[in-house]
Amino acid sequence: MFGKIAMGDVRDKHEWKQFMAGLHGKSTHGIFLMIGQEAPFYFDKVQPLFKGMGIPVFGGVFPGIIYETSWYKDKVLGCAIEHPVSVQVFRDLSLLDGLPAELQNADDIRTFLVIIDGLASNVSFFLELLFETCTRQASYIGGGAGSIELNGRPILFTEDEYFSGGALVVGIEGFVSVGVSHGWEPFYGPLVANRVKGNVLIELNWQPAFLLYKKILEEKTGVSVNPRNFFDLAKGYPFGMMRINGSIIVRDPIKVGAENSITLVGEVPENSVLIILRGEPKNLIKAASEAADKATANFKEQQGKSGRGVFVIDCISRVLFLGDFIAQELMAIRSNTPLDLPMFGFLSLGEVASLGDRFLEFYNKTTVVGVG
Amino acid sequence: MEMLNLIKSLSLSYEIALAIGNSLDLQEMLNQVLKTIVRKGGAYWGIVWLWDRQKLEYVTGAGFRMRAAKLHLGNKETDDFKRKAEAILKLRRPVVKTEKDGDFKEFCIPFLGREKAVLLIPVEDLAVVSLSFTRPDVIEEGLAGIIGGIVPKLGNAILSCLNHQKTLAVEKARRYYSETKYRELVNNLNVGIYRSTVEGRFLDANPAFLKMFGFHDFQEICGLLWPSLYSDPLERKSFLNEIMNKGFVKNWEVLFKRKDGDTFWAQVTAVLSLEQEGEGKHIMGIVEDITERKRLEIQLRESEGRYRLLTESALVGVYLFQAGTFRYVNPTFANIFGYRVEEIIDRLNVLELVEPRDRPLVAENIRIRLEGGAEKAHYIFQGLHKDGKIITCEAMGKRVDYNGAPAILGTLLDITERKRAESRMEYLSRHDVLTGFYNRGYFEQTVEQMRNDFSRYPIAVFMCDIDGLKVVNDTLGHEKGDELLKAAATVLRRCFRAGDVVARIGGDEFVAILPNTDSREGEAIARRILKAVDEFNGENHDLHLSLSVGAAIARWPHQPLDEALKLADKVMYTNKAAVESGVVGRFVRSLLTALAARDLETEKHTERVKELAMRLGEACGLPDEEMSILATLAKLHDIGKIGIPDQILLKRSALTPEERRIMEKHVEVGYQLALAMPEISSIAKYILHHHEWWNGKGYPAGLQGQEIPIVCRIIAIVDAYDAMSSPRPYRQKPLKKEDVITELRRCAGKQFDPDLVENFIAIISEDKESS
Repeated sequence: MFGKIAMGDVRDKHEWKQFMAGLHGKSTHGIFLMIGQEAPFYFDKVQPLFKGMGIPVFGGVFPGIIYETSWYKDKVLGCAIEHPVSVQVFRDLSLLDGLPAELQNADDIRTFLVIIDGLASNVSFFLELLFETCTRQASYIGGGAGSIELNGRPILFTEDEYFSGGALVVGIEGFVSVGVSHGWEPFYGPLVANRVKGNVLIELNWQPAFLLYKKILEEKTGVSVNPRNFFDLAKGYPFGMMRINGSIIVRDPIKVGAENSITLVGEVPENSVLIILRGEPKNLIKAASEAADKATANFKEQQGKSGRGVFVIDCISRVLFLGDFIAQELMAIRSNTPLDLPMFGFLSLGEVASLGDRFLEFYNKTTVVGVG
Repeated sequence: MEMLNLIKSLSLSYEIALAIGNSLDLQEMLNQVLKTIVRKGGAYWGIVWLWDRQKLEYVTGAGFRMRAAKLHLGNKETDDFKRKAEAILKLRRPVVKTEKDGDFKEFCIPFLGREKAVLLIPVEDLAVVSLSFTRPDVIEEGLAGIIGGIVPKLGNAILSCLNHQKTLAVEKARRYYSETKYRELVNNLNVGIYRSTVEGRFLDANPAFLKMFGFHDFQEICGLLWPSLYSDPLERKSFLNEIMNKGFVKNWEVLFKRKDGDTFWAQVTAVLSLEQEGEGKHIMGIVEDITERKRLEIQLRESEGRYRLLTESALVGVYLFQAGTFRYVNPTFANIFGYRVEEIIDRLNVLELVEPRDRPLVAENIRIRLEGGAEKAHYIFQGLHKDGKIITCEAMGKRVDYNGAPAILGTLLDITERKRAESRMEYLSRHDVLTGFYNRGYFEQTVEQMRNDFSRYPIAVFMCDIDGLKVVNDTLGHEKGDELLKAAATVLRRCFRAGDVVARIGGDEFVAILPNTDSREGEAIARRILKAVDEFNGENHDLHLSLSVGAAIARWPHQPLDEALKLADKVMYTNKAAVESGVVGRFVRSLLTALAARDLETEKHTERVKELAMRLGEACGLPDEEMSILATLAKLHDIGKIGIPDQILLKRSALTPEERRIMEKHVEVGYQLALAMPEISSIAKYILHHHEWWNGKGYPAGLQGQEIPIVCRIIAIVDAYDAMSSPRPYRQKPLKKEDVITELRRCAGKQFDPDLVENFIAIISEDKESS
């Protein structure tokens, strides 16, 4: 499915022209661009070039991009798609009430590349609609775009528009196998999220969410927690929602809000039973290599060959938690995927991955590996 | 690990229990429960089937494809499945089927392709929950047990919902029965009656309502919302605001839209009904089609509007007054008199707007109109503006009945400007604009009137003509000429009396007719004229005024007016000829004097040039005619310098190119001057060419060699010689004769005719020798 992959410092119009020309081959049906949050990207200037390509051009601004075993904040990564591509734009997820007929009847689609504004509201409902409406068995892979500074700039684009608060669903007629894992383990629980508003956890166990969370962490770790050091500490102690098969969906706490609430990346249903998780770098790295392993094996099983590229979506908060260990995580993915395939991807604010066999969840703190 | 297992089991049952909640809507409740199970259980899809009226019916689904438009349930496989599920219902325990079971697909309905296991859980004898999984080992996960544990609670919830539904149905039936008798009445009414939810969903509507909107039966509007029947859906918002605030809306007029898109006006009266069991708040209302009434109203309004527009924007003043007081005036009327409309209506008396002297006239006109007497179509009077100024008004009026009493309705125009323009036109038709004297037309009219009116005799007539006006016009421009004419008029005005008729009857000709004036008095006036001219010229004007005057006396009946006029004209011409005798007229002489005054051409220089030119002409053997021309040209060749400004003409340093261009103009000015004076017009072309060069580089025409008239070539040499031999503004000391000769020779063949130069040098050399 993947064609040419290229990474570069693309700044002026001339460089963009060369970059895009380098990606556009004879059998290219679309170009997926991943922009590092610190890369100079001026949509107005490059839009005419995108429009002139004659094929769909789409992408997002991400906290970082991954190329082989390194990640960068200030570079641009491009990926040519070698199968027919259709791009659906959802300008504002908060206004969503259904999916267009094109998606409901997309019988030829084998992979949905889902790029969401990682901080948009209504993401869970959007994924639920996507899963309950699409009629073809397809894989889902993608993640949340956005900047870690949360500065509200537009972060999704196609050749026609540049926006935030929405999503892009790119239907591709090529197959991508998906492996997903996180390595976080139960630490404390259960807790009932008895009052929730979207992705804001207002009460846990009928107490202000932050006050209870602070109390638990202080008791368990001996470290004093306050709104200022919250992000640094909470990145190591996310929330988890358990499924009956034992898998855990991670919810990443990112800030303390009004009335001692906690803002998460992704929503939790009201009255969910939550647990607090903790991570060990070696477990996280191991999980990443399992995801890589699974994606590689699955692709081979389905297609009988090894694919054209390894697509990695790694949560930015894993990167922040792992620090220098992130290099080892990327190395682990690299060594568990075919070495002759280019490895590329982005750091995300939330991840989407499914073989289409169960509810689509918006993951946090998770590594997703796609081979296609 | 055990604790974790406990947590995951507890969390599922807890979340299912909470999803059951307190909802009494069966479908909503079951969907929440199913979604929780599918999500937490990692199912592929899930469906709840309800045992209702002795068969299983689909209630809700969640998970893959469960919202897709393409998913259809109800085919033969589904019927087979329902039979099997009925058996499970009776069995009262969960059944798990995996793909290893031969009848797996019969239990897995619908089969979407990736199912590996299906779990069927009976809920009492009320419902079956079917869940499919893409993993086969689901039984080990204990999901069946967890859901089984919550089944009694779920059963109770289903029963509660069903009972609630039944209660609602019974209540509805009861109400329906009680309403039936009213319904019959309602159905036969001619006004539309409806019930709808606050959101706008229709609950009920009578046939008249349906017909009004173009529908045939109630089913057609079931799926519609009120806003879609509004021509402007925003109106619905206003309606809702009103009814929600007050609880009712009375005679609300609104434009509705029929099914076919046509619109109609309706009047709605509605009340907000309190919540009734199962039906939230709703609105009951009556709708009347008022299109016809509205149409008439609109027509009336438009017609009123049209008339109002007509009067309010009329360019003439419109008024209506009764018992002396204004009842209506339009803005134009008010504006004419400098008031605001409201300052006039019911406040001012009609006569307050009339200039006091005209009040009797206006009062009389009003009286005649009110009595229905003969009406004058319109009349003019002097009106009184608010600021006190007098305005001329033209009024038209007609008696009308207003509120049962006589009144006058009319129009009024401010014709002040028109009157002023008419006076001006009248003045212009009699007068000469420039001088303010009468014009020829009026003069002839006067002659006509006086010719046979002996009471005016004796009549003195004066003919006056300005000398040299044409020359001034042609050389100094018409502005100067006009100035001269005005000067003449000023002078003459001083000399004649109030009753005298003075007219300008030609470009430079004035005539005055002085009735009852004898010769003695006439002579005194003639002397007065000559004196006034001298006084004018003595006042140091730029202009020199010269008038030729002729006078005569008409005496009854021996010397009629016409003859006196002819005589005066003759005398005037005789005087003019006397003034302009000689080679050049007085005007030309005055020009030469003016040139001399600017120290340009001294009389001595002129004489020297003339003398030398005549000698050279003679030496060349010029015929007499050309010798005569040469003599005049020698005197007047530089006459055009009168038009060159002093700062250029008298400049001591070299001229700039622009100054030179202006200086060179003097030949053209001189040419024009000469042409304007018949006595010297024959030398005009020689004046024009006296600066041409032998080699063609002179001006203005660039003539070359013999093309240049010989008199011009002669003057060129002689003038240059005298200029070099005399002091000039830029060179105080004259050149020596030898140097002048050398210079002439240097320029021979270029500037000057070389043969003529040699002839000339021979002549002046003789002088040297002789001297």
